[in-house]
Amino acid sequence: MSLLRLAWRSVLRQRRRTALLSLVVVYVTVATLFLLGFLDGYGESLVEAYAEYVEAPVAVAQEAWWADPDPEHGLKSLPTLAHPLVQAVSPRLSVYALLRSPYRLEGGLVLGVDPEGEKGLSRVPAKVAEGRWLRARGEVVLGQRLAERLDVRVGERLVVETGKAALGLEVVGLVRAGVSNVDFFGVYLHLEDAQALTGALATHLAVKVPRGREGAVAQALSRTLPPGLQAKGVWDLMGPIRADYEGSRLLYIPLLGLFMLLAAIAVVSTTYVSVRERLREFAVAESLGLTPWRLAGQVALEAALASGVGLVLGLLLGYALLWYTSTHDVFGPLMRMSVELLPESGLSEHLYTALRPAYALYAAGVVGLSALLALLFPGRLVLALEVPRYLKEG
Amino acid sequence: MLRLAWRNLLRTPGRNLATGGVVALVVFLSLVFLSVYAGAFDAFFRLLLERTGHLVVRVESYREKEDLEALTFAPPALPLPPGTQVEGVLEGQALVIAGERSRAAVLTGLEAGGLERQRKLLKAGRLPQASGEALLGEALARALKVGLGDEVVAYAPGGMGLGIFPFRVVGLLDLPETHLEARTLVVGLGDAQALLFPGRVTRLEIRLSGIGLYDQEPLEALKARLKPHLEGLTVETWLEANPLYAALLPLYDTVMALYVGIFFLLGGLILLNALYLSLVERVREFGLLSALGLTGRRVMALVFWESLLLVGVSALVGAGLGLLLHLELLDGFRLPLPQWILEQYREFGLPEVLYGRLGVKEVLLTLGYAVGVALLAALWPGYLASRLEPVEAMRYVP
Amino acid sequence: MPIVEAKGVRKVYRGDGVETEALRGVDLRLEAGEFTALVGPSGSGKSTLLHILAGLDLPTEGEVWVGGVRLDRLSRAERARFRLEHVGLVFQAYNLLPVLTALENAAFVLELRGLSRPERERRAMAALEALGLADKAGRFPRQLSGGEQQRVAVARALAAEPLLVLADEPTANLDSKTGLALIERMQALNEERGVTFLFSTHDPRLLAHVKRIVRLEDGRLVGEEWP
Repeated sequence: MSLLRLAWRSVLRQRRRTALLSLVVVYVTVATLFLLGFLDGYGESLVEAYAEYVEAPVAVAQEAWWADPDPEHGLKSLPTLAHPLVQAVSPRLSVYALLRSPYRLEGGLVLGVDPEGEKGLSRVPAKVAEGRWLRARGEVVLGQRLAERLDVRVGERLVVETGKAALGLEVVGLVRAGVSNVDFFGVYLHLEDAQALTGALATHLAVKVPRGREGAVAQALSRTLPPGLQAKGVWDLMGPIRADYEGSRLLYIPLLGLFMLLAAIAVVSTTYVSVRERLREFAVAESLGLTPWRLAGQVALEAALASGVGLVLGLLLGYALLWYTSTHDVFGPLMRMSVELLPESGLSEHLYTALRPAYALYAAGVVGLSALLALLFPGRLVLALEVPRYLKEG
Repeated sequence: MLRLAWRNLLRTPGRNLATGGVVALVVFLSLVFLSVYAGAFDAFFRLLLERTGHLVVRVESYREKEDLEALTFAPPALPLPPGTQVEGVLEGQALVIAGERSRAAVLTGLEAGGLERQRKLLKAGRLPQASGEALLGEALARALKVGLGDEVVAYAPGGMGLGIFPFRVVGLLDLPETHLEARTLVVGLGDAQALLFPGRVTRLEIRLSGIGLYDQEPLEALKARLKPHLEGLTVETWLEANPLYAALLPLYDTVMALYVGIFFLLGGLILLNALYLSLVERVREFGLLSALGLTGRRVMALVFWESLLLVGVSALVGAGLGLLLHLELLDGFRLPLPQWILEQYREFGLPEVLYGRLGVKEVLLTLGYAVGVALLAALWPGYLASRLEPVEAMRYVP
Repeated sequence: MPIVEAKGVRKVYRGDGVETEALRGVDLRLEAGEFTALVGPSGSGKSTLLHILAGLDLPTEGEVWVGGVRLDRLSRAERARFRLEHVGLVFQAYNLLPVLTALENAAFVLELRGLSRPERERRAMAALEALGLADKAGRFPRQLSGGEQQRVAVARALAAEPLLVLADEPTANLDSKTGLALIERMQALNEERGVTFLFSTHDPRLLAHVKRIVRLEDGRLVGEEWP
């Protein structure tokens, strides 16, 4: 404990130096926290968009349907799912169709749903901005942006054609979910109407499970399902946008490592100067009986403490920033632009950064790195110290 | 003074090498980042330009119009300079039916030149040569379970044409974006007109040769020349036709400047530390200098010279290395990411192989940051050095 | 058994192609309870000999025994541990760790030995009292005069209750009155507690207080006196 106190006082003795150094460490710590929070926030917004709007936390379908999503490979009967984490299940029937308004044509994927069952599973029913959610057959709910393209309003009629069959439906609601796929392409009609269009029972089961358990539940379900059926978790249901998330992590996390290394180099050059100024002090300490390795440890400790000051300040600042960006939609404009650019991506219009205690641990890497480098460089000064030389002259 | 500054830098080679290395690394990384990002950005825009054509002629206020009749027009004769290509395109939504299956798709009717441009996307088969032949996106063919030689029926009610037209699939197209590929049906313009609207097109695409990617002036000039010949029609440059992309363009420079700034801020803070350390190591010496009669201003100048020299040399090294790597990137590169991620990035219009771009602007931005950082970081240590009291400083014990 | 025994100690420094022979075969024995001065002109090898006896430096040739342990056969770390347990050191100047108070400096060696806080503070305080510094215990080195700093260094050496205290020109940076007072204190401690002292000096006025004078010239022992 005494060595810790000694190191601490040595660090505090050079206040200006420690303060300047802390600027570097604070900067890198804030950058680390922010980038990790941003990346996780991005991942979470994707999971939320796909689990609660575009797809479902878990989906169960025939293996053949996963490979070729046509109603032809739909479910022959609805399997019962025995898993304690399953909170709700609802069948869906997805159909490719042509949508005809009086003036315009649009092609797209139409989703037949059980109006009541869907409420327990998806947040789309709660996001009807105009009109109401489905109640009975003969009705359709559209994404708001799709309705604009089709130029239909609530109360007007829309024809859904599959080439084999056609249905005239009444538009009863427009959805504004803030998730690109839903708003730009969402078409929801009664499951029985979809069954009438295709002759199929359902293409897949949407399953609600607690957040974070999607993959595990999907795996567990796949093991117990009848042969030919397969369950997929939300990460596997995600489109190509998942690659952007993974790619960003792969690009930015090494960059963070580089930032930390540079900060550690700055810490160590300061420690180097401090040690060189005080070689006499170290010589005295060795003459009193401190072994060279303990002296080198002392140097590492000083480097760790000096960067620790910056780390603490950086954590305070970084978490304050993350708290703000996790409660305020700072990236909204950026996301809305991305949604317009990439409507197929399933991006959400909002992005809130994540805020996790573990970031502090990663950010603390800079302290460990500083101590390690200090042991290697200024530490060597002390190990190679010619004690008599520094004790002779006054 | 310069010599003194230089020798002072050489006195602590280890630290100055480390600091210089950081500055060089920052300059290097900035140039590489700028080259890569500009490359990716260009690829994104080039794809858009290729699809749109340099200039697009459509009916006036086409964004508000609804039915096909109002959106189509009979192509007028246009006075175009030699070397300019003009192609009529008729586009509409259709349901493509093959046996039991059907999918909604975008039917595009192209003239011979337009069809020829599809050749590099052709994955199998050939281009349509006669009426009744069609190209299908591979994903659409898969969804419809059809292959080369099979027949599909395009159903597009509501126009002034036949509304239904059978095609034989003669070629499959591989588009980077799967969601587009799953909705792509390309046919000859004549067939499309027979199906949707005889004699009309939805747009004319005009392509010029030999102008740069973001070169808007020749486009504006041609636009002005065409205007009097376009009654009831409007002509837009490819950026005007894609307003969202056009809005991105001015943001690009700002975002890049911010990006590079993040690197340089770190570099600058590290430089500030190094300069301060070399000051505290040499307090006695600075005291001596002012005892010898150097004014505070000149002592400050010495610190600035040291900073500029250190940054100057490092920036040159970093820029040299960055430019070398850029030459390598110029010939095409892949982002250092796993193949599956690169393939997925194609879905957003980013090709797997990119080509670096560095303009004078980018190099100047980087070097400007370097000089700015050198001056800012020297400000405080220089001020401290200029205010040292000679007698106290010479007695200074660390 | 002698506390210190040096046999045929030679020390040659090599640097920039030049060899300097600082000690040319020194034989020296110190018995327990001695209070001995090492005198000689500067450059005669006094500091080198003291450093070698403390295990701070190694002889080029010869043997160094302290308390029955052959020091020149130990590693740097082992010698450091040996000093921690058995040898007290006082230098000409800058003896103290600037970030510690006088009391903490005096207790530092005991702290390194792992003594509990009350115990080491009691002993350090006692040592400071013996040197007349009880009222300065809470001060940092920069708040003490040169003589006070040297007395803290002696207190630190004594608090550790070593076999031997080696002091290299402890009075060189002090005015003669303060220097004399320091030597008197050391002498009193030698008489009261039987601590063995060996210190180098070139101040003839101090020699009146010592029991034995060893004279070093040009790296050789040239004479001994028992005043």
